[in-house]
Amino acid sequence: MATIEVKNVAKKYGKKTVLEKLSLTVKDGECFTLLGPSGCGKTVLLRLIAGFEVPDEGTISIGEDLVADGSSRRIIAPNERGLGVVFQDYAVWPHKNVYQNIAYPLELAKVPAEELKKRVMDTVHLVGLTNLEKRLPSELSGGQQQRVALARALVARPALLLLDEPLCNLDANLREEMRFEIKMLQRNLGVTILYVTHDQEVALAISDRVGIMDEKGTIRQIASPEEIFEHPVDEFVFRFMGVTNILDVRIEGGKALLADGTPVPWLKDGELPAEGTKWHVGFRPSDVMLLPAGEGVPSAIRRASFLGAMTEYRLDLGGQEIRTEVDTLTMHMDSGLFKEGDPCGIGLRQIHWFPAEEKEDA
Amino acid sequence: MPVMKRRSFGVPEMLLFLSVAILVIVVAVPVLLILYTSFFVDGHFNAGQVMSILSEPDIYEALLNSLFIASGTCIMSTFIGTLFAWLVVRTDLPYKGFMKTLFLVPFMLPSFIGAIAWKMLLSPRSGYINILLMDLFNLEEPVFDIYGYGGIMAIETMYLFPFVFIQVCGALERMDPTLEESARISGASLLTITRKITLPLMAPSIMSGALLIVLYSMAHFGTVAVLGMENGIFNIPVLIYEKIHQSAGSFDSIRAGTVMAAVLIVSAAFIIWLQNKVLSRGRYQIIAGKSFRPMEVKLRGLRIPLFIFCLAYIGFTIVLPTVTIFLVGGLSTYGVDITWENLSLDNYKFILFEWDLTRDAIWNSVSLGLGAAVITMFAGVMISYVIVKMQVRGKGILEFLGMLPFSVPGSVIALGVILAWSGKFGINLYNTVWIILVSYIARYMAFSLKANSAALEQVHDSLVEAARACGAGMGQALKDIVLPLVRPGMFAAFFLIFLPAMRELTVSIMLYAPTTRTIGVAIYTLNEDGETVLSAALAGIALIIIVTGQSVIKYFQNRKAG
Ligand SMILES: Nc1ncnc2c1ncn2[C@@H]1O[C@H](COP(=O)(O)OP(=O)(O)OP(=O)(O)O)[C@@H](O)[C@H]1O
Ligand SMILES: [Mg+2]
Repeated sequence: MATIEVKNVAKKYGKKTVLEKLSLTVKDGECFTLLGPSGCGKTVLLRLIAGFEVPDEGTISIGEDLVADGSSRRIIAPNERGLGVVFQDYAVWPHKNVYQNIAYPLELAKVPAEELKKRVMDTVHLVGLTNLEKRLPSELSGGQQQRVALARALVARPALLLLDEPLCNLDANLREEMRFEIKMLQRNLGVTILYVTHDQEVALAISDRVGIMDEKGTIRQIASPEEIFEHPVDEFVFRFMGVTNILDVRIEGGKALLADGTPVPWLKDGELPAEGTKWHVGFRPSDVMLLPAGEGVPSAIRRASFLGAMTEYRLDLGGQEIRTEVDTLTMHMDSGLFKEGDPCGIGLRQIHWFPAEEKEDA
Repeated sequence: MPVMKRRSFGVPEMLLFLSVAILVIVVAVPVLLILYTSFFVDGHFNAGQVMSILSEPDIYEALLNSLFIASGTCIMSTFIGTLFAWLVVRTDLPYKGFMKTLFLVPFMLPSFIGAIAWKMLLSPRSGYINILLMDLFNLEEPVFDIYGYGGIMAIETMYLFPFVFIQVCGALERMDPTLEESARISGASLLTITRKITLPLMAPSIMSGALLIVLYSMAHFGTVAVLGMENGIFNIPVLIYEKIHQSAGSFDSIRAGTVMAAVLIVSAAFIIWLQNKVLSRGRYQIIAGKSFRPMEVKLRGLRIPLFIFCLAYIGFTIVLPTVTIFLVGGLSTYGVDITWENLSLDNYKFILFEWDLTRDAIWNSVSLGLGAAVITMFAGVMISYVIVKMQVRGKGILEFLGMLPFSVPGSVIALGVILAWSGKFGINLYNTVWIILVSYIARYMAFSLKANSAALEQVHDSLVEAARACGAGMGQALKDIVLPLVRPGMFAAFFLIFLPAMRELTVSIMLYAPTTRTIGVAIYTLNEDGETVLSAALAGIALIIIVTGQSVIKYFQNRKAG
């Protein structure tokens, strides 16, 4: 049973509080991604779980075992926790070659020579380092070193893998491939994975559940990727999930209006929040429908950038700028492409309401 | 279920305790004893007595001499060091890389051996150059007199200027070229830029090198001892030596010595503090880490003359004295002409295989050097490990103690060790090799700490943590990961201690007994006793050992890099 249970954990460095009352459960066999901006304390949390730091308060359990207890400051040593860890800075040993790096956990586990060799070579192939076994880390690229680190964490087939940005230095193709491998591994071997990253794309692609952390180290939402994408609990979560448009909106006489009185181009009827001026409406570029002039809410093209298959437009909506992306080809066939300065109309497929006060801490 | 461990008194605290204990016993106690002995009389603080000792004529004169010689040496070294650094880094001087290596050679050469060589060349009565010039031009009077302030400062400069040179070279290499380029674009000439931009930017590095030279020169024994005696010039370390040596341990002279040593301690602490201040102020101006290709100043017509000047300087300050030592070491008696008939290997054979005094000295130096190097290397690894890597309460004390060895001059250590190990605490090592060993450990701890902490800083914490995560216990991780990675640092520390120990003079001269002479002591005393040719031959052998050792280091360093 490789579950992780973090309960009310707090961690300070000197006067700086990094984590405060953080609780989190990772279920057996799931891939849990912790997503948050740089410096929010993701690495610190991982280090607490791995046992390199002692929590100031709270407890951490792995499976049945209580591994760290802040009140008594007792911990179980990292080497007795049975983890695989990939560090953000790779931590590949510079004096060992690729083979020796990967073989080390098996040597410690006293795996017989035959089997050791086979398992190391299998892992070398798995991460695509074939024929590089004899190289020293100084002779590898950043991405190759990262794969050595990944291989080293995988080779002993730990029940629990802690991954700190393990793919950030790989090119897009390789990243997708490794992402797939990690997912396969988790499915096939039933490994529990805690994956830490600020890349929401990876998070959505491989996770069973995602936790979103803010700058203060507070977890804002824990849910499935779909849920987070469709129903973000607040503006921070919404903004964190990719490029967004946010407009200041006031509710007046049952209508949602922008600052200059332009109505929010929301086609569907839906429930409006309470009357008042302090509302934000958020929507993704993909939720914007670009219509010929005369339909929807009138708008104009401020800037058009051709990006290949997609074309990005910046539009003027009641004095505020919004972004949208449209499929170049579809656009061509439907109504022809807009040019800068052209009038047009706007409709929205889906919007999210957020109270405006939140903006400061988002 | 694995056992939960409570973080309390464990291995980290043990190591911290051991490290603190080593530094306290080896460095702090001697220094404290010196300060205590000089400021307290019969258990009472007595500053008046300190002042009256300081105003005794010979002590006052030694203070002034130390300051005067240090200032002169500092000015000359700073000028020469900066000039050569600039030539080697920022101009189109031919063979720059090779020249840079050559300018660092004086680091290897012991300055008191240099002083002895220059005495042979430039002493007014029998110096070879003086005799040659007198013969050539039919002069009545010798042209040069090495026995004076000028001579002392010149010789010290020859051996100390690399401290400025190396600091300024480093700063020039790291300087952000855009600062100069923007001045260039706004129309300033290259000379104006050098004067108005480059030099001010270099000022912190130049200053810090200059301060180091003041520090070393004030505490320097050999050159003044060799060249000053004739005209009664002495500085603080020489006077401490004289007092201790002649008084046969009377309390008054020991107290006078401790007061002078206290002056050295205080000025060294002040200089190091000043140096840190200067360096931290200069840091923001220079981009660290990145290496640029800065503009090269074209020397044009001066290129070849300056190149010849550099070669002449090296020939004059390195080759000439070294050759002189070896040649004089081959003569049957000092003063005869250097001709093929007069040269032989007899002195060298005698020294190496026949004469007990020199054989003992070589044996003592080698065994002391090895012993000190091994002990200090291991102690240094442990102390640096605690300082650099461990999170343990009370580490601040150790960091402070770790700074101490850097700022305690040799003669201070010798005197402090005498105070601490002459039976005061129930252990009397006086007149044994052990007291020299203890003082070598104190003297060279700084080198070991520097080399080992540099190596340990390269070993990022996550490398050890990765091993822990793979299932290695702390001991296993240290053995498999840390040890292999710091081995080069330990190796460097070993040689950084062994080689200087082979030629050590300042400390050993105050601690030797008839059977515990070291190579340095033997060279110095033989020279004092007028056994010039034997002293030169022994110096030659010392040079061979040092150069061989240095080549071994270079070989290993290159092999590691290659
Ligand atoms: N050992 C430490 N001492 C002091 N402060 C620390 C220490 N480790 C982390 N911090 C602080 O804790 C905060 C969180 O750091 P952490 O490394 O967990 O960020 P992160 O979320 O992993 O960011 P990134 O995505 O950039 O890796 C930072 O503000 C950092 O400065
Ligand atoms: Mg991080």
